[in-house]
Amino acid sequence: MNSSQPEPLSDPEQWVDLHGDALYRFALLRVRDVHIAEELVQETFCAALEAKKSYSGRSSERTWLIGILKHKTMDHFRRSTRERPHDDPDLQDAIEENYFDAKGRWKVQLGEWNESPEKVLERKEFWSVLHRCMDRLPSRIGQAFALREIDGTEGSEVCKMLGISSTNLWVMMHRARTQLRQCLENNWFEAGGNQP
Amino acid sequence: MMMLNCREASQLTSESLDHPLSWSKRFALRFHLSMCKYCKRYARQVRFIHQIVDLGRDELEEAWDASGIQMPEDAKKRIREALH
Repeated sequence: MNSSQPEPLSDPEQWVDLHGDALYRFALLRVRDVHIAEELVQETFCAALEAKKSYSGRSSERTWLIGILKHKTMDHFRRSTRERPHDDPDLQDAIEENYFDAKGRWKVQLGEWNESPEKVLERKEFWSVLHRCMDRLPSRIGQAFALREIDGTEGSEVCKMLGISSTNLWVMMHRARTQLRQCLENNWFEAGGNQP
Repeated sequence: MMMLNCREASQLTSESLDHPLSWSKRFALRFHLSMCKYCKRYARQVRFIHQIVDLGRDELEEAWDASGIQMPEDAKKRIREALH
């Protein structure tokens, strides 16, 4: 087989079966809303159908589709910031009430975690616990966390995508980290998930 | 010097993962952490989360793929029709 020959695309009729679930999961991890994820997958396939001729075959069909989906996801965020009020004044209060008393002291007792990142990296179960914890974040905060931490998007870019100020992003990230920390403590570090 | 409470200290700890803090904030934070057991834990643990997501990006995506989450059948049907 000649490797310089581009792989042809499969029949678009099969796309949904071949890639539908993978694209759906990719979108869902970032937008954290099933209906929006479905819409983005549909938009992606439609755009791919129109752009079929521009497929170079240099990347796999899946990678090519994911590339289109990434653009669609960014477009979605940019579009939806125009329809939504920007900064959320309740955010700071929610952190305040759940974790700190009126004087700003911790209301929860933070436990000691005796595990190294290297150890945790080896444990497959840890990642599903982390996903479950991320699922419990309020959707906007989950979006910010996924964009910033999972995709490594620059903070200024995340602000543009979500239509928020940098101060608001820091508050959202603080909320995300504080809630994830607590959830991981309850469901992994203290639940014996770290025991062999 | 700025005196921080735990809420402010944890906020600055989180912020320091996103952008460099000013000298005076860094100093105030270091002072608070030197005296506060819980905030010190908080700082260690959120850095831990930050680090593990960074190191384990592939594992995180893999675990998500292995979760078996699928697009609902009615959505698939709708998309198949749209592609027709």
